[in-house]
Order: sequence, then C-alpha cells, then structure tokens
Amino acid sequence: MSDPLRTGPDTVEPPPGVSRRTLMMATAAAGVSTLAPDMLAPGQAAARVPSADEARFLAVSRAVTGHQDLNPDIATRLFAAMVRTFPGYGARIEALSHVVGAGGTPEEILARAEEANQRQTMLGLVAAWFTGSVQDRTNAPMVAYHDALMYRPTRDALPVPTYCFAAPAWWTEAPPPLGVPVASPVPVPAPAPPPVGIQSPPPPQSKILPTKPPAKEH
Amino acid sequence: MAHPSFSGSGDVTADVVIVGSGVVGAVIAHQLAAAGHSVVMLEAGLRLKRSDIVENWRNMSFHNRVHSDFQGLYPQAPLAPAPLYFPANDYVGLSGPDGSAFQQGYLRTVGGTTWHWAASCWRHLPADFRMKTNYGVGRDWAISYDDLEPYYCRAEEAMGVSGPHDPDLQSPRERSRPYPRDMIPFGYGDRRVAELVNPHGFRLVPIPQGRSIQPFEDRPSCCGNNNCQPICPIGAMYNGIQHVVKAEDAGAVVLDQAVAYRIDTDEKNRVTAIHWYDAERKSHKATGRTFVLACNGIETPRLLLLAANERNPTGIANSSDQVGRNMMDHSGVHATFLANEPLWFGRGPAQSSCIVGPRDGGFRSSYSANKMILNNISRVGPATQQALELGLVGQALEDEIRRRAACGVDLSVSLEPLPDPDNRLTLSRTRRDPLGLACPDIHYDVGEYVRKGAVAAAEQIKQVAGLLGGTELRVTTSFNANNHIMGGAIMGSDPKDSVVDGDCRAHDHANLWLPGGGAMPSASVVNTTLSMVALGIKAADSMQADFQGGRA
Amino acid sequence: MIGKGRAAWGRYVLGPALGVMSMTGVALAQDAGGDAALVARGRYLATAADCAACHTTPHGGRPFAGGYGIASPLGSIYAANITPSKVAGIGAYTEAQFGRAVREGIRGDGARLYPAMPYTSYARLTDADIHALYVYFMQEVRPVDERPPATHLPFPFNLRFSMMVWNALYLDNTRFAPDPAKSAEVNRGAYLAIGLGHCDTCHTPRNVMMAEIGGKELGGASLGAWIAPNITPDPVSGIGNWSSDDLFRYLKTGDVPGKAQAAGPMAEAIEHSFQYLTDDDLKAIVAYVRQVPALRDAADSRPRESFGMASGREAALRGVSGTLDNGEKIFSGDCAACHQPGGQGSRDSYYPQLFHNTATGASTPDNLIAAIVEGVDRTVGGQHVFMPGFSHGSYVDELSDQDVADVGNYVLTHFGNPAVKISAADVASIRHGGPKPLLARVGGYIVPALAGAVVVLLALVGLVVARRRRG
Repeated sequence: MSDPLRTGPDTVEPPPGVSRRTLMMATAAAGVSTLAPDMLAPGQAAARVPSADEARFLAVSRAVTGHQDLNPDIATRLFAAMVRTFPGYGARIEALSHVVGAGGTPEEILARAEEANQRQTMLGLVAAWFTGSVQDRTNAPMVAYHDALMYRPTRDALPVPTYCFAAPAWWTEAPPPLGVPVASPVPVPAPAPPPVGIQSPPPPQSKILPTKPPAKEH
Repeated sequence: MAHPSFSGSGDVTADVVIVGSGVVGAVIAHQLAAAGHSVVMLEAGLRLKRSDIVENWRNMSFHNRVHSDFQGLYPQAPLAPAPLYFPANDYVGLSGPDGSAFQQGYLRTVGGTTWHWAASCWRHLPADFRMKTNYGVGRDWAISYDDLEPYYCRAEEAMGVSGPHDPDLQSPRERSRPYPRDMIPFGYGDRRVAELVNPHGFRLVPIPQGRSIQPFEDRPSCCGNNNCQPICPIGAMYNGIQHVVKAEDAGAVVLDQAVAYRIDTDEKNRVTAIHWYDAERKSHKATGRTFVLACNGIETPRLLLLAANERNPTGIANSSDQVGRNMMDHSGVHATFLANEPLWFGRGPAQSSCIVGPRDGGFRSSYSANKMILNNISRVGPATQQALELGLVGQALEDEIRRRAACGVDLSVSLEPLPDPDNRLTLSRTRRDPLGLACPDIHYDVGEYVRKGAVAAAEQIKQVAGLLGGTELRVTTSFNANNHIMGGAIMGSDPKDSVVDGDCRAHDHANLWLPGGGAMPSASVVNTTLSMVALGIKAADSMQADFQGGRA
Repeated sequence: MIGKGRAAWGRYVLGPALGVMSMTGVALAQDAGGDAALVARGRYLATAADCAACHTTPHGGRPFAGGYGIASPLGSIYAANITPSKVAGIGAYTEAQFGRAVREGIRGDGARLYPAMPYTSYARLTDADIHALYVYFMQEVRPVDERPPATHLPFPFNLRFSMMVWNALYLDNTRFAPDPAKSAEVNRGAYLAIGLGHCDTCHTPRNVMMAEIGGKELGGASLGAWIAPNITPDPVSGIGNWSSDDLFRYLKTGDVPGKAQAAGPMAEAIEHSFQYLTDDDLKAIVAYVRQVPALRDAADSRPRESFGMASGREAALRGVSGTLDNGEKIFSGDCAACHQPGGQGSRDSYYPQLFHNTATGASTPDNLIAAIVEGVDRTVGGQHVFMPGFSHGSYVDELSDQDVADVGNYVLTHFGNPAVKISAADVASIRHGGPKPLLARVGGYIVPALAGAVVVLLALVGLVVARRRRG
C-alpha cells in the first residue's frame, strides 16, 4: 500500500446492500464519529466553496470508499496533501472519476479501475481515507486521526486510542459479536492441533515467517 | 521546608543534588525534600505539557504510529538529544552482532521515560537475585529479595499499583503487604486466553500496573483508552512527573535544560560538585553533600565516563573498570497470529495479562527464561495495513479489518541476557552532541544464553498459537529492544568487579549514589521500573541515614 | 493541591432530612417496635442529615468525634464531639438539652453555638425526630473521650452571647406546619425543600445583610466558586423544561445526560444525602419545586441546558500544527480524550456531553470554571464519577488562569452559551473561592464603624455564608 500512485474515483450511489452489522453499528455508535448533519456546527473549515477539483475529489472519494458521509473539511485537506505529495495527482483523480461515473459498489469500481489502469490510484485513495495519511511512509502528511475510516469497522468494540470509550472497567463486559466470518478470505495454513502441555514436544505448526520490524514495548 | 540556595551567577547549593528527573530521581527527591533536606534536580531536557504530547501523537503519520514511534512526539531540548528512529538520529552508536537489538527509546525530559512506559510494575523473583548461586550463571546481587521486599512495597504504594490480591495470580507470591489496589480486571481476551492456555502450564497472570480503576489520590481512573504508550492522555497512568510535582511541593527545585557534564571530587574522593550547561551553554556548578545520578542506564554511565577527572582518570566510580559494561535489556521477539475466534484485544489498558509459566526453572542454568505479554494494544492499525495489502475495498475491506482486529494476537516475548562485560557502553570518538560532549557507543551481543532461550520460547509460542487455533503465525527473527536498560553501573559486594553496593552507593565515592536500572546485576524477564524505584527508595533511606548519622 | 475542601455547605442544608421520616410515615415509625426500631430510625435520620459530614473528620476520623475545622474568613470553627462521651461529648445531655442544641443552638452549658450549626433549619424538626436522634446518639454511637480543638475566633466574633441577639432576629423557633391548601406531597416537599432549608439555603439569593431575599425563593445564588442556579419552574431561567423524572433522576444520581451533572456542593449533597432519601421524599421535593413561583432573569435568553451542538472542528484541525489557538489546543489535548472531539461525551454518558449542559449554557461561567479548576467528584450508587481538576498538582496538566479562560471560552463558543466570556481574572477569582460577600470583604474594618452587637451579628452571618461559599 506504499505505492504512492494510488487514487480512485467513486459512485455517488450508496452500496446496494448495507449489512445488518453496519446498520447496527451505525446506530449504536451514532455520534461517536459520524454526527447527524443537524448536530454539526455549520461548515467551519469548509467555509469557502470547494473548487471543481475538490468537489470531484470528494465525489470520487465517496464512491471508492462506499461512504457518503465523508467529511468535506477532511476531503479538502486530504486532496491538498495528496496534490503536494504526488505530482499530477489532480489528473489521476480526473481519470478515476471517469471510472467512478458508472456507479456501483467499491468492488465493482475497483474491477473497472483495473481495466482502466487506475487500480493503484484507487487503492491509494482508499488507503489514505482509511489511515488518515497520504501514504504508509515515515512522516507522510496526515489529515485525520479520530476520523480515519479504519476505526469505523470496530467502533462498537474498540476505542479510537487516546479517546475514552466508556466508564472505567467497561472492558470487562462482553465484546459485541464478531458479525463477520472468522475464516480468512485468503488461504492460510490450518491451525495446529492442540498441544498436550508446555514441556511436551511441540505439535506441527505453520513455519515461522519473516515479518516487519517489531513494535517496541516497555 | 528547605530550598536550595542560588548564587547571583546561577550556581546552586543544596543538601542533595540529583541529576535526572525521571521516576527514580523524582521519588528520591520527594522523599528527601519531605524529610526536610534541600534538593535540586538537574534535568537535561525540557518540561513538557501533557496536552502537547497527546496532540503530537494524534498528529503523527499513520506509519509512525503503527510502527510505534514513541520517541518522535516528545520535543527534545536543542542541547540534549535522545534517540530518534523515524528517521534515526544515531545519537547512540550501535555495534556488535545484536547492536540493532539495543535501539532504546528513552526520554530526556522532566519526568523521564515513564511518560511513555506502559506502567507494568513487576517484581524480580527471589531466584533472580541469586543467579550465580542457583543456576551457576550471571551474577548474584549484593542484596537478597528479602532485603528489597519492603522497598518493593513502598514503591508500589508510591506509584499506586494495582495487582492481584489473589496469591495464585501473583508472580512472585512472596510479599509482606498487599498491592495498594486489586488487579485491573481482565477483559474478555485475557479471560478467554487464560481458559485456553492455563491447563497447559502457561500460567497467564494479570500484570501489576501503575494505574487503577478507581481514583488513586487525585489520579483519575483508567478509562481504557488504550494509549498508555506513548502517552496516557488523562494522567491515569503513573508518570514520574507526578513525583516531580510532589518533590517541588516539598521544596525541591527542578532545573530543566541543565546538562550535567563534569563532577568534582576531593582528596577523600567524595563528590563536591556537579557542573552543568544551561540552555545558553553557560556553565554552572551545583555543590552539595549528597549526590545522585539517576539518568537511566545509558546516560548515567555516559556521564560517569565523561566526567573522568584527575583522581578518577577512567571515569567517576570506575576503579573497577565496570562502568558502562554488562549492558542488558530484555532483548525480545514478537509473535503475531490470528486466533480462530474473536479475542478483541485493545479493550482496556495497553497491557493486561502475561504468561509467566516459563519465568523460572532449572533450565535457567542453560538458557534464558521468558515471559510473554499478551499485548492488549488495539490491532486496528496492523489489521488495516494487512487488509489494505490484500487489495480489498468496500465491505470486504471493512470486514477484514474487523476480523483481523478482533482475532489478532501479538505476544511480546522478553528474554534475559546475562551480564557480559563485553556488552559495553563507551564514549564515541567521532560523534558529539551539540555541547561537544561525546555521544554513547554500545556494543551488544545477546549471547548464546538468550539465543537458546529464544529457541525454547519459539516452541512455546507455537504451542500457545496452536491452543488458540492460530494461523499466520509470524515470529520476528531479530531481537528487539524493550527499553529496560540495565547493567552499566552494576551492583556487587566486591568493589573490584562492581560499581555500586547494595544501597546503590558508588564503591569509590561515599556520597554518590547511582540508583536505577544500571545497578541491576540480573535482568530477570520483567520490566525494570518497579525494581528501579525500589532501589531508589532504598538508596534514599541510606542517604537519610547518612544525614542522621552525621556522615553526609 | 487541587481544592477539594469538603463543602461543609452541603451539610446543614441536609439537616432537613432529619424531619423527613416523621413527615413521610416511612415504615420506621416509633411504634413499629421498641428501641431497635427507634435506633434504626435515628441512624437513618443522622445518615440522611449527614451529621457526619461536619462532625466526623474526613479520612479516618472516628464517627462523630468532631474536630473537623470549618474554614471561615475569621478562622476555623471546629465541629463538636457529639458522641455520648460524658467528658468530651454530649453524654451528659438530657433529651431536652439535646433538642435545644439541635433546634435552638444552645449548648448544654448554655453557651450559644455559631450558626455553622444549622439550628435555624433544624428548628422545624418534630419532637419525635429529636427523640429518635437522641436515642440513636446515646445508644449506638460509640463514645470518644477526646475533645476537639476549641474554636477561637478573634474579637468581637468570640462573643458567643451575641448570638442571642442574632437569634432574636433570625431564628424562627417554630415547628413545621403543613399548608392545608396544598397536597400532602407538596407539603412534604416544602418541609424538605424549604421548611428545613434543603434547597433554599443555597439556591435562594441573599441581600447585603445575608438574609434571603423575599420573593426570590430558589432564584439562584452564588456560593463562591460555584453557582446554585435558579431552580424555579421558569422555562427559560429555571427548570421548567425538565420533566419530573429528570429532576428525580438528578437528585437521585446527580446525572441527567443532555441536561446537567452535579458538581461541587451539589455533588456532595447528592452523594451524602439525596441518594439515600426515599423515592417518595425525592418525588415530594420535585413536586414542591415545580409549584413555587417561576422567576425569570432578564439576562437569560434560552434555557441553560439548550445551548450548543457537537463540534466538527476535529476534521479541520488534525494534522495542522502551530496554527491553533490556545483554547482549541488545550481542548483537544486535555478535554477531548474524555468528552470526545465533538464534545458528545462517551457513549454511556459517563463522560458527559458538553453541549446541552447547564455548566456550559448558563449565563454565568462560574460552574464551568470551577469544574475545570477543581474537577468533579461524586460517588453515587457505588459509582465514582471523577473528573480531575486542572490546578496545581493536577495529574493531567496544570493550567494557568489564562489557559482556563482560553479553553473555557473555546467550550462556551463551540458547545455552550457563546455570549458568555471568561477572563483570566474570573478564573483567578474562582480559584480563590469566588466573589466574597461584602461582609467578608470588609471584614474587621467595619467593626469600629458600627454598633458592636449588630456588627457582630452581621459578621457572623457573613461568616457562615462565606464558609458555605468555600464549597
């Protein structure tokens, strides 16, 4: 996802099927990240009228993420950051907007984007909205933390770190149902059989794979 | 209330001069100031506001956050650099087979590195104090667990530690007083994993922690915002700054941006003064009766070496040539995998439970013990990275983030290096800080003891992962730092092969104490802070005894 | 350290609860059976009255042994030992002496109590309640043979006999009499709320003589650092828009999401007393409050709980460094962790929302400032609600007067009443206990100028009020 040349357009139609879980979470978490429009202070950062490029960027972003409620202030600032980071970014968004025009789900748009050689642009744009940063690189410009889309799929269960979730010791309560298949959509090795005990010979296990530098802890 | 006295030129005189304002220095400062002594603390770094640190963290790039850039959000004093890794500033020069395992994150700032710890408050085991006697490896401490036990209690009480009242969940069980607060209650993930792994001998226990779910004094309750590292946004986690403020209220004075660099000694080799540079590079002098260096396991030996003088040509407190040697940390590995059921780590404080079954045993005569922290840090960041890597969009992307965040497990495995004189901090001949003072160089090799321990740990990791139906198991193949710096001013009963005695008093200087991680002669596998504070309080008691006995 | 002085204020406001039982006929009636029932009833009365708040030293003092110093501008007034110790307490009191002390402020030895002891309220207590209390104190409270420190106020305030004159002016030594025109519930509420000083002591404004202003009943008053707001049924200035359930919940828990949270002296009143009252008694108070004359303050344009909305500023400020104003920076760094970036509070309302909140919508910012400076501390129903203060010694951050003003103004602008502004001087004033009543400000200077006895009386009243205002 560190490919700097990802961008994507979007369809303005909402995805045809909103899952029950999504609805449930949206209801349960109303007001945490997504404010009902009438609760929002009137356009504070977006006091000015967005340019055509900015408006296109927001429309494309809505389509590729599948979220109609993307914040216009964040969109304006993300677009500016993307343009600063990736030369010619405006043109790529324009190209992607043609792919988005036909509508459909993000998955459908991605399929068309691939044909139009816009796959990386679309994935990069999705990644930027999900991570709140223009790319996954050291000190890359960022525009969203609490509002980064990556926190939405778990907002019924996990806090956005730094923000208190509920009364102290809330975490002792049962977490919400997972609501999605526990199995991975990509093939992975089968789990090992349970071992007999700590001193027994270890059961067969997936081989140890190299990975990224570890997180530090104290 | 006694206060240090300042001259017109900015020199200062106090009963007690402490270099370093982290948790150890601050707890000592508070105790001595409360006992009526004048105390001055010299802190190389800046005094920061919590709210600025919180905002700096939220304003960091995703990449920095997901890769734990816990240093970059803390502004550094222009004249007192500390390690940075995003990108690396090479303040500490690393070499040796495992140099990269010694990339420590420590802060030079008022309050010290406990600004970004996770508040684990472990005790060493009684056996950890007798490694040579029990297992024929490493060193024995100059004191026993029983000697330190009352100070462990006092440290826990000072820091408001929550730990299990149930003896079966304690590690170690030997304690004379209960924890000030009962354990932070487990979340679902801890409960479920305990259910699955404990029947197999792994012994998952609660981590004793410097936070509480009811207010402790005026410290607010932990609300489980899951951001202990690199900053607790609400002050619910113990930080050294809390004792800095208490020390100030008792009359102590903290000078920030005061970089100590020279130490004067008299004909009896007592310390008479410590010199520092202020933010304008002007030199000043702190004179006193009792001196403490509590600058952490890297800066304390560095200062001792920098301050070599005519009577102590190889460095202060270094007649044994052990200053800067025996550098240790809980060189560790991480294991990540996906369980075959949702465990939902990331609910509650960042650390909660830990597998301590392999903490001790006869095997320690041949290889390292370990502990495995079941990290409770939200997996949303890594899950997002992984889900994006798969090229997913739309509902599939969100489902995959949810699945990986719910089922993801990260084990942080700590190992136990032995004190090795060749693991050594020296002064760089090429790199200097902005004041022209030599930067530290460290040569580090974890040693066969740890390497063999890592092999054993890897087998245990496979078993744990197997018990949780793990897939996508990955174990890191090089060791990582855990920021538990030990050894550079090692404790021992023989002045010929150690730097300090059982009170952390320098063998060479009757009025100089070097408390903290540097004094610890065995690493154990547990986070060092509680032991450091216990040693600090023990040192403070010996300072007070000197004052009372007319020896100060 | 953060001001955590106990609001002695809340205490004698609660004295009225003493009378509750006899009014409500709760199943603790005297004839229910012997001394055990009587003692239990007395214990309930003493708990409801929170005698311990003043008479038990905080943090481990022995029950009712006294010694807690109630700070006043003139010096500490030490609460008496009211255990049945014959040498140090009230063990030698007859029931008649006990009753005179509680209802008339006359000690067993004939000396006058300072009105820090709220005998003017307790004067309404029925004989039956006095009896139950007496039996409880004599039979169940353990005697402690230790004398608390003596109270030494400077001349002329040390002349306890002057209280006789004050009492002649202000002590209405008559028992409560129901108004036959009102329902039994309202009468009961009146007994609790006004007859026994449960609400009016704080919520009714006072004139320069420190007497409650006629016709302004429950119209709101400053207690120093905190404001006791208008709680008349006026829909704009008072609680006219609150449902009876809202009011009941507030008294029972101190927390009505979307309206108000109790802090300062009100939190203590709820913590120590209201939460233990029977539901019927709380409902009676609500019924009474809802029918007092509505009072409108011309300064109020909208109900104080109606201001504000969630903020969208997070979307505009994240990743932008160096350009935020100080108030916004502090809000995001120190406040948003709990109250959330949009100010909505946590999903369970444990951390309350900042808009539609009386602390941010009031016409005066005192309670907002006091909450920031002193924090909030309320234990109700076993749940400890704790907001750390941001004064010296704060475990979060120490904020300067200007910092508090800046973040307070940010909160008022984005979540509360934008017409209200806070200056650093306002914060300094609240930090030091809030505006002082005239009598406390002029203090001893006024003495030579006026006739001695009157001055003493006035000053004593001022002293009591100032003490309350310390909250």
